[in-house]
Amino acid sequence: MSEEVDKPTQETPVETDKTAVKSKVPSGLFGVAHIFASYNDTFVHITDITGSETISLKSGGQFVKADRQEPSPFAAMRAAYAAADEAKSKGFIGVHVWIRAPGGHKSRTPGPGVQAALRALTRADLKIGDIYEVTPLPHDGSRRKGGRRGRRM
Amino acid sequence: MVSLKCRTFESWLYLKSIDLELCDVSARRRSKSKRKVLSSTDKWKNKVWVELKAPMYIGDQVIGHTPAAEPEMAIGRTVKVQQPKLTGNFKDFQKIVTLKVSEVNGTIGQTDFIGYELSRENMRSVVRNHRSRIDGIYNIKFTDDTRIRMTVFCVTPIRAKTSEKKVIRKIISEAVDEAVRDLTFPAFVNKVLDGSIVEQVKEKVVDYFPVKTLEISKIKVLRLSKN
Repeated sequence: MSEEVDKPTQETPVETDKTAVKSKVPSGLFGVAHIFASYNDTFVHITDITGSETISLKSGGQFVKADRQEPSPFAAMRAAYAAADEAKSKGFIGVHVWIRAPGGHKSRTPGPGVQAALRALTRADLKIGDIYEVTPLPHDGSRRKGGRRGRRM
Repeated sequence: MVSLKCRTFESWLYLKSIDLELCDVSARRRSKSKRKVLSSTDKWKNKVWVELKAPMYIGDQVIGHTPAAEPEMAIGRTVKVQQPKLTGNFKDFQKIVTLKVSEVNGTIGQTDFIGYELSRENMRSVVRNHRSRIDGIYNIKFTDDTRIRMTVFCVTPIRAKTSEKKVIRKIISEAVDEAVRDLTFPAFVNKVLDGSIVEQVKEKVVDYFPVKTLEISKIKVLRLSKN
């Protein structure tokens, strides 16, 4: 008898704690997915709408062994899926997407991982809001490294 | 004296029948380990969700939510919002408004208007060969001491000579001055969002030269009034 009485008293506070935590997170949450795709790697960084709080940060290099595969669409897809799962577990239902390439005096076209990452975010049941291209473009800029005669190997 | 048989300090205490909790060293060790576990598990769950609201003079709409360890930590964060979310007019989806959290009451964060931008894609699509792009940058001071820097972006359907460009810039400058003269900053923001300032300026320019598009491409708030 004593066991039967004790059990519900132990379970009830745990349940109330869970509901309290769930009620804290507002419904219909949107974040921002910053996809940085270069020819050396792809980063999928999901933050809140202000960009101040990181929710998930994954890169292609975390999912493949060879360095040359880091910028690949497969690695980007895995990174985006992992980031999306983490965001969903924290209560986010959708993301605005900011895509960028290295920019500046480096490449202004994003790497091969962008399309795969964006597609993976969609397929992971995250709603996609606005999509912006935010590659930093200099109004004037500095000189690209490598010298006048280019990189010599 | 610690006997040679005891390998650890705890085992020595046990042999001497000293309560571990009374010993400072062990208690410190335990508290350290507990602190580590707490910090790794409860960091996200303990965050407070601050509801971000647009400025009162725009409409006080809810823009979104941001998590913070303490509500006051949301002050200073910036949000970029598409204009339709504030005005409801989907035509303006290429215009982006930047808002900054200025104060937090409880878990509600009030924001201020600090910037406005026309999207890069829109500007790139309008500028083509045999057209002229004319940019004018104007510093404006309002009656409530707020100062802004505004960029007006104008594209003509045919090529404009340099002399004509100069005249167009001058006309835009005069038209902006006239439109803004007796306005406070909140009234100006409302006029920017409903497009009436652009219409006023465009009417003046069209009398002199044909215009393909004329838009406010950027607004940067240099100094906000304290009121």
